[in-house]
Amino acid sequence: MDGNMDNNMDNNTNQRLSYPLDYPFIQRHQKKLRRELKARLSQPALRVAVLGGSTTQEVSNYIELFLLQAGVNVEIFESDYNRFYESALFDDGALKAFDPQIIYLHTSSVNVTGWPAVDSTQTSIDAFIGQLVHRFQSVWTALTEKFNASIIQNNFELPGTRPLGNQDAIQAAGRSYITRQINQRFAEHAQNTSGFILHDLNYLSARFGLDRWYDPAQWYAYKFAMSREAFIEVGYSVAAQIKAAVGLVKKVVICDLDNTLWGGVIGDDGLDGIQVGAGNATAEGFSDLQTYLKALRERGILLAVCSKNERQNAEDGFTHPDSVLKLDDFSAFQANWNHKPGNIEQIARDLNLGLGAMVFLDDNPAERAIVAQNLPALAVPDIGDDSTRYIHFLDRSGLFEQPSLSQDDLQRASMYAQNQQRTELKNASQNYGDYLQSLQMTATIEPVNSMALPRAAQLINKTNQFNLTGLRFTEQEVAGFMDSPDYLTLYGRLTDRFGDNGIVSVIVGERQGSELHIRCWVMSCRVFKREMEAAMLSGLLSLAKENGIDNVIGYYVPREKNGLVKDFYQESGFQLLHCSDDNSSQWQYSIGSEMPERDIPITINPATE
Amino acid sequence: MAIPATVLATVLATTSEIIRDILDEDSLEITEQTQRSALESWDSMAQIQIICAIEKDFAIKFSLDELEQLNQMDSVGDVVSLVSVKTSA
Repeated sequence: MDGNMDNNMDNNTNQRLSYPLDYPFIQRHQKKLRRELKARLSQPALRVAVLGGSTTQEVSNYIELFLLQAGVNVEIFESDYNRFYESALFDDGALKAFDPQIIYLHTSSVNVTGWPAVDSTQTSIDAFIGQLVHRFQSVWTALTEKFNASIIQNNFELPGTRPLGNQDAIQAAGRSYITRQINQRFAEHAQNTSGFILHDLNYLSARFGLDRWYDPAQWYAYKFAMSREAFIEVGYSVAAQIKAAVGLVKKVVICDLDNTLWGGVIGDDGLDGIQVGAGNATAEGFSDLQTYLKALRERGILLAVCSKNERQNAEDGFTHPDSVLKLDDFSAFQANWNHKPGNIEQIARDLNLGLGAMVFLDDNPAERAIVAQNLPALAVPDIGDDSTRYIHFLDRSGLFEQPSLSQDDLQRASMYAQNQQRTELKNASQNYGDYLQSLQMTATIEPVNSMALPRAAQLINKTNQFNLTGLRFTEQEVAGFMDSPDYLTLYGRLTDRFGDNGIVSVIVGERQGSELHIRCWVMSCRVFKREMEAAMLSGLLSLAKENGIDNVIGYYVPREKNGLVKDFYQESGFQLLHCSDDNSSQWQYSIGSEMPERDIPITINPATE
Repeated sequence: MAIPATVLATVLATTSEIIRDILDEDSLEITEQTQRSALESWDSMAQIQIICAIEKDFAIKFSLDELEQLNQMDSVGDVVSLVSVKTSA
């Protein structure tokens, strides 16, 4: 079940479109489902181009279906059959006219041809691999030059048959051996290239099973590179990466406790009685689940507890000597006897995050149903009824995709812990001004550069509350703004005595003569009420002035969650130019010869030692 | 061999349901005389989807020759006959 699903799509249908996917149902009803889901969406469509090395229609249909299910309106462009190379290098204008935001290269093992003979020399095998990788690199380069689009590229699945048997994995000319080397080269490219997203078709095909993956009759008859059921899995998996690329990512896992994180009921069985750790099979299963959640936390997904329990009992559970998770791994903790939907809303307020960014994990189908019904924005995966398989369902849901992992992601959990310390200091401070001074904040505010780019793009796509226009830009688009004389960009990083908050704010402005139009202004909710917005404005005005701008034009466009900044421009000293019926507004700030003096409790761009 | 009328009727009912679902045309009336060429939405991709759904629903598998025959057929009646023969085999 995905976040933005409309209530009136029944739960049953939603379930069939979630892992484990109901292939026959989806195959038979996909056209109707796409029509009905699309009718509910009114926002501009995301432009996704599918360039194929084989027939793309089925996979395109499924990518569309799963994006629509997640509330992402989408328009798909398909290249002519097996023309991915030509479409990229010698576009006839059709792709250019479409102007894709996402390009998915649907290639697979059928596009590797001219395999070296078994007795080939090492030199000729290396040349074969080099040529193939080069051919793909020229596609990526051409697409990157022409479009500000994120590129999603499949790697290759292992061959369906092996003339060399097990030697295929060992011999230099073995197709399995060569495939692994090509995949290695693709992975290295992904490591070094922002905006390039590798889709691990190799893993997907392995977990699906190569015997079910390859369907030679469908290849001979229709040039389907994989079986029709595999198409559904590919569509689901690619859609999950596209969702992440446009910022629909999960940031929190909210966990039930009894029989979810440990076996047994702590209130009844006591600390000695719950099952976690080594010793028996059930206990080991729960330990592994805790280890998996801990790994999610380490990569930047926050953990929270929502349990019907006495608070003391719930906390005691994490003092169990074999508990992998400890109390301080959780960024929010609700243990009481209230209804779970209310507790989850409280967690959302505590963490200052939307329900759409949250996943709820509970072994009890009744609790899951109540939560899913009351909070449709929340993701509530069906984790089955076998505690040893909870990880499996959580992992396969595709909920935790991310286009890349930034340094900030890896530090996020500790940042939230620092926030708790800040809250404690705030409670101890006499007044708010003193508190801000005591934080000893310093900020770096400067135009977006290549180091800041991945996080800046991520922030633009993930921020919902302090987001004045709601416009989203891909990493490639932001890279384009950085290099363009028609745009001014700015990012802000905030540090205080408790640590580095990372990059927390981004502004993109478009120049039109002596006017600068603010297309995007976002700030992370982590630093609300810290005067960082005033620091950014000050930085913006200086930058604008240096660039000969006389007037800065700001826009507020009402979106689902950005009511917070409705009056932001007014409060910042802008004059109202225009207000529309839909409450969107346009504001102007005239830059005089004197820059306004404003007392901001942040030291901006301190000289580095 | 003669296929009993009841079998033909059942196969027609199930096949019609499949065609309506795949084409997303809930109110489409389908008889043995319905012609594929008269239905715009029944394109080559829909043909593949319908054939695969028939295979799944009737738990049968068409050979490459039979797939070729099916692609040449224009009337639903011919498809129903072939499916009936295979399910009765």
